[in-house]
Amino acid sequence: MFRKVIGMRPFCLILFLIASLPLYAQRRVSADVTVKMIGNGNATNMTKSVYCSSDGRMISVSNTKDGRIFVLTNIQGETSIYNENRKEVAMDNRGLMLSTDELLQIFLLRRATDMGMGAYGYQLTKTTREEQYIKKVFEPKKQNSNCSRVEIVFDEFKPIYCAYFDHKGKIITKVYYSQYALQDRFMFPTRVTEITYANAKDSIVKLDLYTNIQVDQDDPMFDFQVPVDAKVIKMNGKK
Amino acid sequence: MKKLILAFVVIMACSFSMNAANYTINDESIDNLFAEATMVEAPAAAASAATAAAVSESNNKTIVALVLDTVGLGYFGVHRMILGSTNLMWLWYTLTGGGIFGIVPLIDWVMLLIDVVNNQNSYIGNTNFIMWT
Repeated sequence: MFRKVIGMRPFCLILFLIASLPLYAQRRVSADVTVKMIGNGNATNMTKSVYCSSDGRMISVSNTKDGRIFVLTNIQGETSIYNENRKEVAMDNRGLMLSTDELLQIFLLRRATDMGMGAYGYQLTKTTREEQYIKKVFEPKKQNSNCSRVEIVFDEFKPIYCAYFDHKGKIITKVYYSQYALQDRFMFPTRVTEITYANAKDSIVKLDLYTNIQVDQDDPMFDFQVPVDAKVIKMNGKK
Repeated sequence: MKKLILAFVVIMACSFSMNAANYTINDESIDNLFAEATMVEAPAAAASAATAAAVSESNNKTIVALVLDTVGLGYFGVHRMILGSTNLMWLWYTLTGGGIFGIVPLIDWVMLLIDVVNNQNSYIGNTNFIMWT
């Protein structure tokens, strides 16, 4: 009997570690995001606040001249867009917008190891080391994909660079993840620079700046629900 | 206009290193890029922002589409729905990973920006997946 108990010690230890994991897992993360885009010498700025929960729920709030706009969505793509001033809500369940399309949600759900490429139908085909970097190459499972391969480079397990290649081997888009911040054991890149090469000479730049990252804070916004008396409007505009 | 559009956003790619071995970027050069660019105020239609997706008959669908594309809904073709494309256009954008991994909506955004600046509505009712070809 004693030997049996001793023999179970490793098993118990593993069980304890697994059971302890949720204690260290973040459940709610929020941040303010400034989205900058530049094209043809012109640039625009948009700001929003993003609230992500580990159950896959995401709420985005934009302060506009017309009041606050709420976008609620989840992993299944059930989306509601609510205009606070007009008290109108548009709903869609076709998966137009998934919560996992938000970088904050990818990191919260710990999917940064492939940056969600698996969900896009890509599989890991090669892993190499270049100096201090680890480079992972993902290729599409289907031949008719738009990109021939995707490379993600990690520095100390943190994704710092992502490149999408066309079928001629040229880079279409490069994404740089930088200025990582550690907030309550939640590591996140606060600056994401995306460069898309429209052709050999031209490019488009998109810059996402994350500020005020809050982890596991009791912000009532996480539990926001569209008021039941909101006027429902279909996405095609018919009331 | 087409040629102008094709010549858009010469972001001085040379300012970024094209060396594949370089996995970092000079943040200062990017900041300078935005500092030197002409800031375009988010259109007044931004007031309705994402809720604009629910607007059936807008007097300025192009502005609304531009705003939607800016806030990220362009990845799912919502801006094309506003412009009056085919019913399944959103599906094409979604299936191609957000319009060929976001490239199409990015270029759409520039096209719409130019359209707004020139007070045109060139892309309303366009049913092509790539509306600017």
